[in-house]
Amino acid sequence: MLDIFDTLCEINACVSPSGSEEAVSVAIAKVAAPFADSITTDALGNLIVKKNGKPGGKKIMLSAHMDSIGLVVTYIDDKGYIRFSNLGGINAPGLPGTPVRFGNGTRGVVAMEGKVKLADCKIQNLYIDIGVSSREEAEKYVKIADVAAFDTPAFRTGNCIVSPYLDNRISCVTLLRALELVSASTPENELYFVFSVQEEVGTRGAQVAAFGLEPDLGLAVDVTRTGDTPEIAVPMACDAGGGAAVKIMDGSLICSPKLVAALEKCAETNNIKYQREILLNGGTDAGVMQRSKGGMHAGCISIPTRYIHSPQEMCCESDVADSAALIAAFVSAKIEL
Amino acid sequence: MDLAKTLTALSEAMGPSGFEASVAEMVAEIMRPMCDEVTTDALGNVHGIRHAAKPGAPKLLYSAHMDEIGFMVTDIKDGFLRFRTIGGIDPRVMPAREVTVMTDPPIHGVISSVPPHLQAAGDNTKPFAVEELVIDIGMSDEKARKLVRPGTPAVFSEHAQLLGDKLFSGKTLDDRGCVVMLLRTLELLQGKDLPVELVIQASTQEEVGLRGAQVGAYANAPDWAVAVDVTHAETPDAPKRPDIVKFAGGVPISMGPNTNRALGRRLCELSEKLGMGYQPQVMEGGTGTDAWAMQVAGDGTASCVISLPLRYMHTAVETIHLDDLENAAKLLAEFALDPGEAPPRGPLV
Amino acid sequence: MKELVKTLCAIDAPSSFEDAMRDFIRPRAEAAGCEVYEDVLGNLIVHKPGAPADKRIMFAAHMDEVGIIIKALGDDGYLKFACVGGVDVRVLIGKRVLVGANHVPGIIGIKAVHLTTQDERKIVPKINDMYIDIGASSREEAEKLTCCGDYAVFDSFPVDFGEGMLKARAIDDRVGCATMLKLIENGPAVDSWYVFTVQEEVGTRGAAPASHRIKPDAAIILEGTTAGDLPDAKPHLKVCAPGAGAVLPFMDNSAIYDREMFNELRSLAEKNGIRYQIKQYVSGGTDAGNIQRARAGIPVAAISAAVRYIHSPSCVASIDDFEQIYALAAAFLAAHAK
Repeated sequence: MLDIFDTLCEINACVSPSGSEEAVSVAIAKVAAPFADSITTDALGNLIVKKNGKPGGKKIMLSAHMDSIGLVVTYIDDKGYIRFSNLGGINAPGLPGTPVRFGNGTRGVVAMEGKVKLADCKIQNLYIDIGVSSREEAEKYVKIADVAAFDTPAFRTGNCIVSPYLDNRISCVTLLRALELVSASTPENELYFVFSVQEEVGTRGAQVAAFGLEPDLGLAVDVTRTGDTPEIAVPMACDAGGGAAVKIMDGSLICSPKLVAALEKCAETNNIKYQREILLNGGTDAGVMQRSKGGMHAGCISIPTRYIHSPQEMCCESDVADSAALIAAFVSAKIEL
Repeated sequence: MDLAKTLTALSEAMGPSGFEASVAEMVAEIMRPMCDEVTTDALGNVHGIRHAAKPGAPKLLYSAHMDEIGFMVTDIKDGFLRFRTIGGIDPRVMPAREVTVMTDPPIHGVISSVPPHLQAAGDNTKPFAVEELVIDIGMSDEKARKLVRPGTPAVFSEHAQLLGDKLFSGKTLDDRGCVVMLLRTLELLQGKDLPVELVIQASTQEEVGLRGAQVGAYANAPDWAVAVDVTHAETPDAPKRPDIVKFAGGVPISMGPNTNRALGRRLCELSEKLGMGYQPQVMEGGTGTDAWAMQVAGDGTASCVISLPLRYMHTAVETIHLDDLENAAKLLAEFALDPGEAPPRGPLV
Repeated sequence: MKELVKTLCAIDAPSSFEDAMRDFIRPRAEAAGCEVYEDVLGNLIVHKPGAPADKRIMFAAHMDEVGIIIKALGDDGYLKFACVGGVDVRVLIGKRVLVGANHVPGIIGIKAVHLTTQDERKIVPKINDMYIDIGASSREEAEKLTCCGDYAVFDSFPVDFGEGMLKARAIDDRVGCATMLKLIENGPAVDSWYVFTVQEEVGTRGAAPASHRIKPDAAIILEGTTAGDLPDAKPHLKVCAPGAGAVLPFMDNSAIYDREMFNELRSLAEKNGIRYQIKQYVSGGTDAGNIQRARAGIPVAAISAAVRYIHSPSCVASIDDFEQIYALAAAFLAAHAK
């Protein structure tokens, strides 16, 4: 069985924020290859891993986005300081002091203009210092439009994993593990494991993948917030360690009630720990899948994750195992909605 | 069709966005005897289809959404239900509002408020925040947890009623008033040969982002798509704005980027011809109706918005004028019989 | 290019009122031997036959401009209006407009500063309180000149400006339309598609149905983009500058441009001595987003013109940049002949 933490570290070693997913795509394809019937990519770079099913089953699209949030270089000044913009939702005051890494291995640290107060800090007040003293020197390592990722460590602690980009590499691991599980026998349904691009900038990859694949049913895998930390601003009934989170609704969709019921029944039949998840805002690939072409039943399994979009996110390993088990059990069996 | 009776039945039915199944079944049931075919898609849109008298006719789609704004239980605390909204609800209409929690069987609930005795001076001058409010179902924590799970939807609980002779008031007339209008249109077209393939769409999930209509329009690829939705009617406290319309002052017809000019003009002409007149509604950008999504679905479609004037939008006491409903139904029936030239259908590139 | 851009900038076409642009483009494209098709939204789709290309290439530029729509005619003869597309109301005050196809002169008035209170001077009037004066003294008189749902444009005609610059309204995106028209008339004889889109300014509305229909394999968006090169702007917030060449964005709020196409355009520019600048900030959005996400996905890139004061009656751009944009678009097309 694929080790959750090791697989995570393997695919997380890539610098692949939205729009630059080539490296992570190659890493995921390598892990998926032994279990796949075919592996393709589409015009936007979505990685599509197909697992054949028995005739007469449903065509199912599973989607976990493989892009991460990140930074993209917009300007390099005379002294070699690098200005950047965000790829996806980044909380600017949370960044100063964060180590970052470019695709070619160049490392640096995010810092803030001296005159700005931390609470007022916007992305445009931040810069990356790569330890050079001129634009010419900086340009040997970094060019405008290059992308960078958080260079923070991954480790296990307690029952949890701490790592940058659990959003959404942990869901990629979940899908890879589900792929491994369904490969034990021929599933009832034709399965497309889509590792989608550009989710963090507006679920763009999944939208075109769904159009191209035209599935009967869509199931996304993504991280979600939790309500189990101190003095939480918006209460939420979803805990790290509480099991696979079956999404009911978020800002991007209201999940098909029939699909939710079928997922919960599957969890109960197979004794898989699960909980319901209702997210106030935010969205996932499930939203665009639901509304592709003439529409489809769509839902989402979420991994409860603390500190989402910070350089150190945390989730519980057992939730990953439960989610993979639930997805595998659900898509392997006959589905009536 | 007894308009008041049908309005009452549909107004009192429960179907917030994403949970329209029981309303859809009621609508389909009423449509069946008046249609050649009634279908439901994956998002729950109901399509009542009247075939054209001759094959190869252009396709006309009328859309009214059957979902309503509502609530969703997110958590249970000490027997009280925490909730979020489904669609946009003004928190000022929530305190002490009775609701129905959509369990089986449904549970009667009341949204909390704070009695004046327990308030500090000045508290009553600012509205409650949604996070401060809970739904009280009068149960112990144990019992509440047994009967209600997070994810259970809830809706306003309110009876529909006539107000005077011509006004009708209740919840969810946005937009089931227009669903009834389309049912009435179907009735007016009974026994008549149609020059168009007519699709009556009762759409879902409009209140959370025009979601049902988007896929319904894509799948149907109509030549014309008319959204029928409510618009603000004058009230004493409404701002004096040109887009606030009058009750029984003519059918509001949209103009602006969301409106195909030939289609809009035709509808204006027909309303003049029928003697009911129209109220131009110029919308400079998004109309926030199904037409906005339908216009750009697939290869694009000629779209327009016909509105039903309504007071007190997104409360449980929404109010319409029955003549407005009847007049618009007549206009829609007339257009289906005499739509003029269809917009050009492009070659498939 | 200069004369063509100037001609196009003088045509009225607020979003959904693109008729005059279509009327100008259609005969010229037909005369150039192209197939021309208008879809139901009014997008004008031009197919230029030629030597086979290695893929179906689509160029896109929007015909529409920000403008004004008449919402109501008042009993007093004044017109109530709204803006079509994103207009900062502060640029409207005290401006001349032309109402409708007959160019009825109008004025967006404001009461004299002498009549304002101290507090009023500190706030921007709300659009609902603003009005257009067309010299009518009653609704009946106004009805003879215009109607509900009519449009108005800024009264600002194209003029040569400073050193090699152009001042006009609607340079965004008549520069893109001019580039496409020149490609159609004089560009490389390579099979290619051109879509003059509608309603970009009210939410990039025309691009989605057009690309759904055309099914291109790659698309290049030709656009005007915001220049922020004012004296007090910080260097990293200047975005781009008129006169520094064609602007190549790597991303904006609507799309992350296809990295291969971005790199290809950059090397084509370098190889052919075409002046270009990389957009040094992430802002704005274009039709690219909806084109990229049409059907099963379409790789997109953009070539833009740096335009100051975009969405105002008085935009300023460099005439030489127009030539660079055309040269780069033509080089891309030529490079894709099979």
